Amino acid sequence: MDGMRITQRMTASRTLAGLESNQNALTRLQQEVSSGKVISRPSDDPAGTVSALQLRGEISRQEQWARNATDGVGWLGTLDTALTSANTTLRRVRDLVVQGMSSGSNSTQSLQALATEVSSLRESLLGDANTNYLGRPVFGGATASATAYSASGGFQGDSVAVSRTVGAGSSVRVDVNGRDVFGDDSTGSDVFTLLTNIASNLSSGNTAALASNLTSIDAHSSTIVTKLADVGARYNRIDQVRQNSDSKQLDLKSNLSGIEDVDLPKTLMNISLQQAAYQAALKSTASIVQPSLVDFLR
Amino acid sequence: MSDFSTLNLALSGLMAARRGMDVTGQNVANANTAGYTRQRLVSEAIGASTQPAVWATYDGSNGGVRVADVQRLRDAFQDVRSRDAHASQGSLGATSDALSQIESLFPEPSSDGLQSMLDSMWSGFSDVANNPSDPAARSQVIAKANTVATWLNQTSSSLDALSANNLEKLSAIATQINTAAENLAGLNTAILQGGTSGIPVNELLDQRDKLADTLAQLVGGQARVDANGTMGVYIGGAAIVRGNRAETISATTDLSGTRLTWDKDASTVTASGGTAAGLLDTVNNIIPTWKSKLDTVASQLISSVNAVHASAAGHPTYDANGNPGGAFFTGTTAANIAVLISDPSLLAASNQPPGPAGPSKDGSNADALSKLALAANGPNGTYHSLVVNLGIATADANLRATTQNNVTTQVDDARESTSGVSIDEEMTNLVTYQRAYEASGRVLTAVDQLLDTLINRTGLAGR
Repeated sequence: MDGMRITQRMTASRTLAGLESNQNALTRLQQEVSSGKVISRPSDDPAGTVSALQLRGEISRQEQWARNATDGVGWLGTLDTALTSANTTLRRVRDLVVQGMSSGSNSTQSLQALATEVSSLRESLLGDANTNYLGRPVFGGATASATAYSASGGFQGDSVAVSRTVGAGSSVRVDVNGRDVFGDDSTGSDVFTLLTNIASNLSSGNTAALASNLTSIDAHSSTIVTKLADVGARYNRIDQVRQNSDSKQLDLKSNLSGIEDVDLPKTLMNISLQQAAYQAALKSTASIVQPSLVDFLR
Repeated sequence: MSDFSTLNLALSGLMAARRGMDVTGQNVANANTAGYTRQRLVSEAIGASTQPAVWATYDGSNGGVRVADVQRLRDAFQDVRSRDAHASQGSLGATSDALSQIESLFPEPSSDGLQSMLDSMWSGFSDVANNPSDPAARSQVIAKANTVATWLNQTSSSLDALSANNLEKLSAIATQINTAAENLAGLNTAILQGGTSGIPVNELLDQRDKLADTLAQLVGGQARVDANGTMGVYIGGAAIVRGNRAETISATTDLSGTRLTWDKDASTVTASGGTAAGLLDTVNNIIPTWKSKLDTVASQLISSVNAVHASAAGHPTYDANGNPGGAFFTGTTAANIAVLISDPSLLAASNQPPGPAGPSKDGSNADALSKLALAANGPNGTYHSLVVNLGIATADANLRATTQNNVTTQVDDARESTSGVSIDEEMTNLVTYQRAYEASGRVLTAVDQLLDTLINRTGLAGR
């Protein structure tokens, strides 16, 4: 620019351009503060925008996974209660069978009473097996029927596993199939048939048969306990996921905020600097643009 | 050399000084006139005859001063540079405007953009997976899918509207070009006539240069001053103005796209710069590019969701009535994507056939649908890439337009530096001419006194 001839119009247009760019910078900072966002359109920061989009997607998924996990916790908690109750029932049946086997001390009448109690325990066990969560029988898989077992103890469910997705590529099974825990009713080796048999063996005083029934009860009981442990493990896992998800969401949100949100102290500082520059420009413009030789010729 | 000729000499000095003050006055008066070129008095001393002849005599003394010319101080090369810069600026400004407008259709990152609509839809599928027999869960996911489809429809039609808007602008620009070319041809005539009859045409030349600037900003091209003083303007080698003739152009749209055509023979105008070139690029390339990218997002959404939703060999799906699942979305592009299902029970959430008690309450297909959110190269990924590329393209176009703007300002400054009026300089000239006038007047006074002595006081002896 040295040696260049300068005219009043040049000074004016350059000053105007400078003032405009000052004003633009000020407006932009002002917009950042008022919206609270550094990125208000993709071109502000294309790379930041795509990170923000990914983080927003990730947050939405984490929220959904947490919701799925909460639902899964509901299923597994219900299962835990039902299985615990079923196990207690079976233990009581075992006590009754042992009592019935202590021959000599039992009259026909008392055996009959034991048989009646076993029958009512069978009903209670059936009630446990038909436990519902939000209208779905928890031992029935994906069945459309309202209960997993019919009143006669026939399995109405299917073998479909019910799972909840709780993370990328991670899903947890939240049901237990009725046949896996209560035995296969198609071969008659289920716990309900067993209890019917026990009741009839008790009323008929068939001690030999009761002895073999006792072994079967122990086998069923051990299956239930194993399943209970399994459900407990799954419950812990899904609950863990739920808690992790909360802290993960927090992390993601703070990352998103770091990318999208305005750094208030820094921006306000910049605004002050920009304002000072703008005012200085206005002041110097006022004193530079006015005078020319005209003011000094007489 | 006679005494009286010195009077004449002084007179020529007075006249030249007056003329100088006139020119200075004109300059000061037009100090703020856009396109005005400062003028300068070119004076020369009157001396010996340039054609010596036998009886011509010259005694070596001076004959005064003569105004040879009133010169426009303009640099033709700076004009060319400035017009090139303005042509680029016109083109880059138009594309940057167009991209900014396209970008504003994609409000990201925010909770109002397609991203959050898609996320909300994928979550909706997950809610169906958790409770497939709940009609409310099914209805809400269909509503969310409708939101996505409607947004795609609207954005696609907004892009169409933007294209139509730019076409209208292009037609308006063609009209402006035609008007400027016609005026420029008219000025050519006036300048040619003025030149031959000796009328000063400096102000007409200024107007013509300004029109050439306007044409450069609108459509680029080159302006050349021919030997006879007329200006020709050429776009892609073809003359839009030559002498007193101006051609007209108009915007034409046909199957191969939009172009500017000469009205005389309907051939294509190869506009390399200017706003017109930017608008043509916008209508023919920029908007179609982003529209097709949006279509890719839509078609990927349609195909990926339908592939999971519809029942197929090896991938059986069933709706709440136990019937095999069909398509979820219909359409192929962003303009015609729509949700096919309106009855919530038709959503195929299950992969299990109906059991004896009725349709299965399995939700694994809905779960698979929600997992499309994570699919590599799925709709989410395609949309991310669209947004980031649009951001980069817009930022790039804005930067180029800003840079070109700075270049244009500098080039214009250089031109203003040559041609602009400096008040200080004019004031100095005014003082100079004023003093010259006074000095010439003093010469006149001196000669007058000389003659007074000679005529009135000489030879008084014996009176």
